[in-house]
Amino acid sequence: MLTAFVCGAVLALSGCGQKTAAPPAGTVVIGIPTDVNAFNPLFATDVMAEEINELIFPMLVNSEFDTTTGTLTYTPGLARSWEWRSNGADLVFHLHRNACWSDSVRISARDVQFTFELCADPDVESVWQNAVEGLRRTADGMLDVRSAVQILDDSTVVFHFSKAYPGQLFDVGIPVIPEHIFAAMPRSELRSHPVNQAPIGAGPFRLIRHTTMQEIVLGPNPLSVLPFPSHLQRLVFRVVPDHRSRILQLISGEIDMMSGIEPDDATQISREAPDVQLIPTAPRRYHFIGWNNIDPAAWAESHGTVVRPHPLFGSVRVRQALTMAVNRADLTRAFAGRDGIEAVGPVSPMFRAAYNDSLRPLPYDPARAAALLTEEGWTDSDGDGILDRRGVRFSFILKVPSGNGMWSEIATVVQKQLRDIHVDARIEFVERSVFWPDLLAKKYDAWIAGFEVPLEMRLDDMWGSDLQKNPFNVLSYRQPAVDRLLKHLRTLRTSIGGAADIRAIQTLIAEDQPCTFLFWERGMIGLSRRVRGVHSTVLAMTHDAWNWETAPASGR
Amino acid sequence: MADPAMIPASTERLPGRLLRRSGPILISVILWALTIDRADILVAGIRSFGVSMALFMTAPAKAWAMMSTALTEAWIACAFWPVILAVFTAVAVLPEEVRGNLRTRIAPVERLVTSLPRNPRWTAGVWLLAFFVFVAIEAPILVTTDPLTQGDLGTTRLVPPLSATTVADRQIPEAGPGSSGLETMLARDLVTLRIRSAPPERSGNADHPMVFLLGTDSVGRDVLSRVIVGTRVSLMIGILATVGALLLGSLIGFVAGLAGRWPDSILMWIVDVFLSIPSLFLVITFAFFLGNSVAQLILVLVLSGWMGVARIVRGEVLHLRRREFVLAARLFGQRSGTIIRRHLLPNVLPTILTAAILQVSDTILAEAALGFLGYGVQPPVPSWGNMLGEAVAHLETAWWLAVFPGLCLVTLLISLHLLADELQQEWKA
Amino acid sequence: MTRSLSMTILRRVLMAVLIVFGMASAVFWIARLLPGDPFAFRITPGMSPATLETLRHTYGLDRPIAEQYFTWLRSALSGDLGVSLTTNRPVLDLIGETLPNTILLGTATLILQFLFGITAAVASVRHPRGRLDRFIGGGTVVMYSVPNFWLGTLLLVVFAFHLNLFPASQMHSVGFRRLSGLPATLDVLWHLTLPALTFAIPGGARVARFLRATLHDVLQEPFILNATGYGLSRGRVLLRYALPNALTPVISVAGIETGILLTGTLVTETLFAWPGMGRLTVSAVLARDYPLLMGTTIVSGCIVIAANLAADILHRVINPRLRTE
Repeated sequence: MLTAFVCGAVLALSGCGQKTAAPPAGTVVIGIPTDVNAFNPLFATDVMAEEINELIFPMLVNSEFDTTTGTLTYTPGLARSWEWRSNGADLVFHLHRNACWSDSVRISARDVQFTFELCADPDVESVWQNAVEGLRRTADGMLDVRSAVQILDDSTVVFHFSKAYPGQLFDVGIPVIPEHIFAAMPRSELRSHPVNQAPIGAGPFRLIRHTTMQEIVLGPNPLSVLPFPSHLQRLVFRVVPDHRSRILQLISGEIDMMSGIEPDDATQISREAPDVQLIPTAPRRYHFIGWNNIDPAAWAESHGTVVRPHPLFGSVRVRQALTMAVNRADLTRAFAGRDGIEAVGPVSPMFRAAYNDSLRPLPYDPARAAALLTEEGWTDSDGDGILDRRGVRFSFILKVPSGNGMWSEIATVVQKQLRDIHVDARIEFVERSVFWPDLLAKKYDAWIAGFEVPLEMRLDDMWGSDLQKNPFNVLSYRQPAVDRLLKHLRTLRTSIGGAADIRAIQTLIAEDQPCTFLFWERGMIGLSRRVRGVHSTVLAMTHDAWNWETAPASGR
Repeated sequence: MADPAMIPASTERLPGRLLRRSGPILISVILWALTIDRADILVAGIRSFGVSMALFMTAPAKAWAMMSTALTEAWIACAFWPVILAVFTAVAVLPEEVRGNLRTRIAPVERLVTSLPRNPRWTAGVWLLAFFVFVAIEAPILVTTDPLTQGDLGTTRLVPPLSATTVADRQIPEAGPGSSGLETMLARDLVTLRIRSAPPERSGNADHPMVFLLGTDSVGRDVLSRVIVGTRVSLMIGILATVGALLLGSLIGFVAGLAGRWPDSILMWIVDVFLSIPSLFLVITFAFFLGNSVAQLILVLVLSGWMGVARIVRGEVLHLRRREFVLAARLFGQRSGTIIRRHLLPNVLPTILTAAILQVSDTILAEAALGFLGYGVQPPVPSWGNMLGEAVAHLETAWWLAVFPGLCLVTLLISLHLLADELQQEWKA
Repeated sequence: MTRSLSMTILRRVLMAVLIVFGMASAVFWIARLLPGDPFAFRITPGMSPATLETLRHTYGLDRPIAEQYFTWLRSALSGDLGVSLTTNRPVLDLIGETLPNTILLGTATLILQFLFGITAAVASVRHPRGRLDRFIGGGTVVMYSVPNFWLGTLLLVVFAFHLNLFPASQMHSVGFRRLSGLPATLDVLWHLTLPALTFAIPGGARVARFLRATLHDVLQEPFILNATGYGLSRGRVLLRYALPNALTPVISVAGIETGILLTGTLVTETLFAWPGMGRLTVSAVLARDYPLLMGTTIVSGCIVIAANLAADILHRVINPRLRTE
């Protein structure tokens, strides 16, 4: 009887709930996978945190990605205008005169200087430490932010760079934080200070509420002139960790927007939710099988001084053979859908000018792969089904970060296809908190991963031969010809002139096959048609969120 | 003239007997059908055993190189198959009198059968468990395709159950000519065992239609075959880890119960501490340090599963120690070793056995949970746990990935729980 | 309350404190010995490797583990659980925000579970070995054999994904703030249903099995036979006399169930994105957020041990036979 009562109650509940689902007019709900905790741009480590902070805090300049040329352009933000001096080494910003923080204090040039002081201070441990790298140093090589970022008057600030380079505006275009709030605090305690939960900004939005692991609610900042208080009454970021649940909430109208929609989801959404439009994003993420080009044992023993070719993957022809043994076209179709692009190198096709479209991926040809390995001396001499050479078996561990279904499936396919040419790959899943540090320490032989490329191309980080200076060269790729081109690129003042160099770099990397490039993934953003005024989503989902409005409530 | 009363009786007997026998008859029919279908594998398995033995005589080094666990597993399966087939055929075909005769003739069987509980729950539990053990042992013969074979992703990825798809003929591994006739023969049999059919005369690349009974997974592997091989992996892990946990737990429980005083307190404190750490966390930690091959995984499950057993055994020992017959034995001056062997052990055994069955179920569950989280048996070896883990990414689009291994898991757990329940009640009474 | 009873309770409490201490220490060492870097997620090309070193130094992670252990122990004893490494917020704040949600889910689950369990047990002993008894007996075996991660997944796929009857995640709807009173309560209950059922179904089956056995025994006792002899109806005897007596041992089951439940929240809260402490613990393990991990395990350990202790004491108070052991 009681059970019957409970069942009845459950049924009644299931009926009553749905009325509350759809968000009201003036509110837009965005589904996000993880919670955001740092409402302070200095400590925002993930993309979503950055996006939210850029809505709350003022930016010197706003960036815009021009999809026709594939380059970044800049529009005024906190700076009304800017000009270059001393042959491009000095950058002068003229700030808005009437901009003020949400607690009514006026924004001054000092706030800008102070922000960069904090960025540079090692005690603060901010994520923007490389933003000050290009600034002018004193004679003894030290960085003095107060002289490098110089206040001319209350609303004029000048950045002195050591020389002109293409990414100057990109580097200084970080959110500015209020000096009067943070000045008195001990620098090492900024990170965990409660004020990071109640930020004072000057952007179009302010933080209304943050409920741990549930939602982040933004509302209009009435004092904002950068550019104006948002039209939306509420912008809600709802934490929904499970991807499927997020898709379902998008279909049911509970959330209005989400990113990372995959090809399989797209068909379902267009079938079940005609109210949702799908906006393809730029191909910014590529997936690859990494081969360690150097011997990890020698590297570890010598504490990063001895560089010796990897016993298995040190040879170009072996790497080419491994690439040819993997059916990348099939993987692209299965995991990236129709919009996926087979990758040939580390430069995204979205950089129109710099992308080398004459390169073709190596063919899928297991027979030729096997032949190449035989030429390199790898044969199955002991008849155990695995290739060997001078007593060394062609057997290695393929590390896969756990928790990513796609990577583990790719790994399974790759393992099988390599086994067909008698190469033994053993898959091991590693947690991400173990994977990244170990990868940077060059401990792995082979791995599967994906990288998201920044909008300002930075090829040195991953492809420069100096392994000490470029810890992100996880493949330990060393090619003097690439270094020469990179060096030439660094002398250029604008990015346009470097296109030919970058194309040449891609050709070199494709020949060397330091890793097996798989594909560029083009995610999609799902957006409900009740949200109006969304124009640009290339850089960030909420790039122009202050312009958004909701459609007048329909009968739904 | 016949007695009129006899006529209806004899006509009634035939359908009645048939009905009672329908089970064994059905099973033996299925077994025979499978035997005919998998004849080439059975033949290859048995022949390869003979050939290998011959090869061991002539060229031991060559024979060793060709040995593998898969081959031994196939031999075991092929050895048991005729036995199982014969038993069921005999039960189905032989007249009842002969069967009864046989049963009473083999005394241990008779004793075992009469001592065990007889009710539908027990019977259901026994048959279900027997089924899974059968599948586990005979996995090499039962699988329909190689559980590791992947097709072309475009056509074989996530094919729903019972629907046909065209499969491009995969590369058939060549059975290279050996240096001797025996070697060639063995190599050919090995290929047969691996690809589940006799190798064709020449390898073509023709597409052929194929139906996957339980569908395929996200990289185009046959779910049915993976579930079958997974049964073997999961059961093996469950049983071996339980044996380990029982030994360790009983040892600690006995020591604590017999020693009493501070060793008991300390040991029980350790047990309590271990029990209060979230078990999942414990298992993950051990998995980290010990690695995740099957053997290491078993060790992990032993180390994180002994505490319950230790507690039960200690309680039982404490309880028994105060019982009259133990006190009497002590009074009569028996040595404590004798007391343990003669009086404690036999009396604790039923409790341990029940605990063991439940422990098997806990262990299989723990393995499944580990696999679900990605710490379990490493790919490409299938286990129910890692199949469930792989299913998570496709929950809504490919229900069959989560449902079939899950159903097997639940059914096995049900059978174990039924057995444990009935044993407990039997011994209580 | 007799002196021996309070002595027993005192001993129990002391033992409980020792266990919590042992558990906390074990978790500390296990967590530190595991490979992994709490700052792994902060590694970006925008950061110099030296920053990571300074970060480790700031949080004292570069010192010997034994030293870290004693530092941690000292501050934990003074009630300071430190600052979470991933969110930069005080551990106590995070626990304070999530624990109520876990308690809500836990209480709902326990209530449902005992409701199911008691109803099923009473229904099945009314006619022992009857059709209903056998049906419930079979049903409970099936139900407690279902692993909760699999059951949760099935409930999620069927009721949330396919039938769209219940929400798949979180504990509030988007417009929850505008609701109040009954609609707000219903909204929470609506979100609560699936995660609570995930645990209450196997849990209820466990309770039913246990209670059925004890009820069966109680019904054989002389005073029940007496009551039946006085002509009271079977249903009345069952509910008024047998059930209260059979419930006493169930109290200790409740203590154990709390423990199972808290471990289970790791799975259910992650599966249904319930903003509770279980989900917090899982993310702390994955991110190697040591202070947060220590905080959540200690708190959940304390709850489990306290629940067992309370059940134990209650059991002894109700049942005088156990007082002198």
